[in-house]
Amino acid sequence: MEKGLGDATTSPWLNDRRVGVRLHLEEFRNGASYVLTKDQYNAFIRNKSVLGREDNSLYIARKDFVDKIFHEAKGNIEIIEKRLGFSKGWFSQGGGLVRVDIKNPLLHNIRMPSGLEKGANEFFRPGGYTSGGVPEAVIDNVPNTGENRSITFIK
Amino acid sequence: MVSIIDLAMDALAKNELDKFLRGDKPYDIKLNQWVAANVPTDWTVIIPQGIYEIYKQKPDICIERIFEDTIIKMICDNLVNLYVALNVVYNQLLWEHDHRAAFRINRKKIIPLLTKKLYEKQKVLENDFRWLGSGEPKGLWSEVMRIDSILKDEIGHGVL
Repeated sequence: MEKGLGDATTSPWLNDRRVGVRLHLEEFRNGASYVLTKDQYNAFIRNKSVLGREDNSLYIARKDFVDKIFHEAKGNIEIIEKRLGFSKGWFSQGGGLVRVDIKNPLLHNIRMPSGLEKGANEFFRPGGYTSGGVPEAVIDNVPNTGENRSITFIK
Repeated sequence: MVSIIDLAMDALAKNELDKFLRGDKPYDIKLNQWVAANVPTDWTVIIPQGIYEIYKQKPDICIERIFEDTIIKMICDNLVNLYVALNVVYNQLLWEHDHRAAFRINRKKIIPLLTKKLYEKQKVLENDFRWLGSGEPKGLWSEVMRIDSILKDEIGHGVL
């Protein structure tokens, strides 16, 4: 597998003196992912020029972590919901599941979430993991083009 | 945690459905952190889980009529309400097309009015960079064009 691009010039946090932080962020080298409902994709993301929020932040999970869940779920969305901390029926009620994979997240200023990002909600916990135990990080907004991301629709 | 249908019922009881659709307090809900969008509320959640659930569970309320009247009132009101109404109508039309809407809205009445008001406010929308208009060259008007283009692709007609 080809190693993902990016270093401390594109992501200064990779020079953080805390080894745990560096290791956590380095684990995103080969890709990042996140999921949302198809309705949310249509409403807020589809045809937008960038992925991310107005404060230049985009929450991401580790791609290999999400890959493993999808592999184990074998297409069963209920298992994906459970493992990623969504309520039962969340995706089917939302028109299906949309998975966004970000290529080379270390090219986009990867950093530990501070909880001050606009996207942080009341469930935020410091330390790089969601309340459901999913490894997470934050990157700058990413152009919504095929070079930077791939999008998969699952019914 | 209060359910969405309870929030919607509360809004109805207080004649505040517009506030519910705008996500004003106390009807605000937080988007999932992975939904990287700056929007007043998540219409993809509050309409199915609020409005459609009331339609199914309490048909005597005739929520569809109140919903439609509220949309029309919002279209004819200020820019914020026009923007919210646009998003509500957009999602409703997609759900109608997918046969997932609990009821249909009167398109003949609503779409021409929405089109007229959007064009009337085009210049103001072009200079408003709130919500999904942030970072877009034509501000909220870019959002109008995005929605219009998706609707044309999906259902064959847009809002412009």
